[in-house]
Amino acid sequence: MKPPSLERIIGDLRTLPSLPTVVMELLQTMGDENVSIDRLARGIGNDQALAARTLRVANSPFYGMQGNIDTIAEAITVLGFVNVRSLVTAAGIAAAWPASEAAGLKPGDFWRHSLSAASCAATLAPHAKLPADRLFLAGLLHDIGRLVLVATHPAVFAEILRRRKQEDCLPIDAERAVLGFGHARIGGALCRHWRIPESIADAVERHHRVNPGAPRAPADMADVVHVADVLAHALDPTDDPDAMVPPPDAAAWQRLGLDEKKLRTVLEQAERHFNGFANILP
Amino acid sequence: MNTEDSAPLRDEAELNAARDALRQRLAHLFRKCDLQGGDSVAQMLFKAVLGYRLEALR
Repeated sequence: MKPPSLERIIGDLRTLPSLPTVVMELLQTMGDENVSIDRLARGIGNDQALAARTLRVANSPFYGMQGNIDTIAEAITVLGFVNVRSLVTAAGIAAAWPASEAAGLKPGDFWRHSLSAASCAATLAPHAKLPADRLFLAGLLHDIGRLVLVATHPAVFAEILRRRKQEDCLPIDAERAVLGFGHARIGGALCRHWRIPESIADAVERHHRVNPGAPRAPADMADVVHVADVLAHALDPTDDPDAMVPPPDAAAWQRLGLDEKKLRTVLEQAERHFNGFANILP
Repeated sequence: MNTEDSAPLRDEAELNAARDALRQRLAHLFRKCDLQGGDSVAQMLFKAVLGYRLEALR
């Protein structure tokens, strides 16, 4: 089997399901101060499935508003536009993919890990002095390149899984052995295809290839997503018998300044965040 | 056997079994990390996760 080139896979992105219009609009409001919140609220409200999942999370114990939020407009008033935007984009992105188990990938496990990484990334935001909503989205999307592979080249993805299992190696190493590149580069390309802000696309693309050295430099978004990915594997939200924690990059960890005590607090906060958001998944 | 006496013993045994299962699962999860050698970050993470999960078992 001749593996596809990165260019070929990028060309195949056009064949993938598109995101709901309102989610695309919300993504484009990141970094844009001149947004019509009323218009976006109406757009979200018109997509009943999206609105229902968003309200389920808005009313979860995590936000302390159990049962009191009935509409998207109320959710924006109580939780703030940025929080609601994170909820809606997460719900829209997760629902955009077919839920079938193609080529051996379990969608439920995939999204649980992705959401766990998103929760870890958002929880780490104050340690990096970076925006939590962008980190949440970058964490949610960090492995999206794997879904692209499943959707566009299922036989290649099945070969990667077979190799990973046979050699008990890290998924990224199996991908590089089969394709010559990993899911992170595909994920970065999809983010750009969806016109997601470049800082998020870059973090998705570099989460397995963070900047080397410079442990005293400020942490960037790729550092946070790398650490969040490692934490999410360690929190083990899927009980997958083949799961493994990838070796952490020491420089990225040092840039975040995490000691064992801070780490325990991050784990606890991230798991609470994850439990609050779990209803967002299809 | 008096059930009032055996209940706490059984609970303690269950707790120990849960702790052992947790340590085994974490050792399996961290099999690609160098916990015996020089990877101090992986060691710190392992200790933090183990401590956090053990606390939740209490």
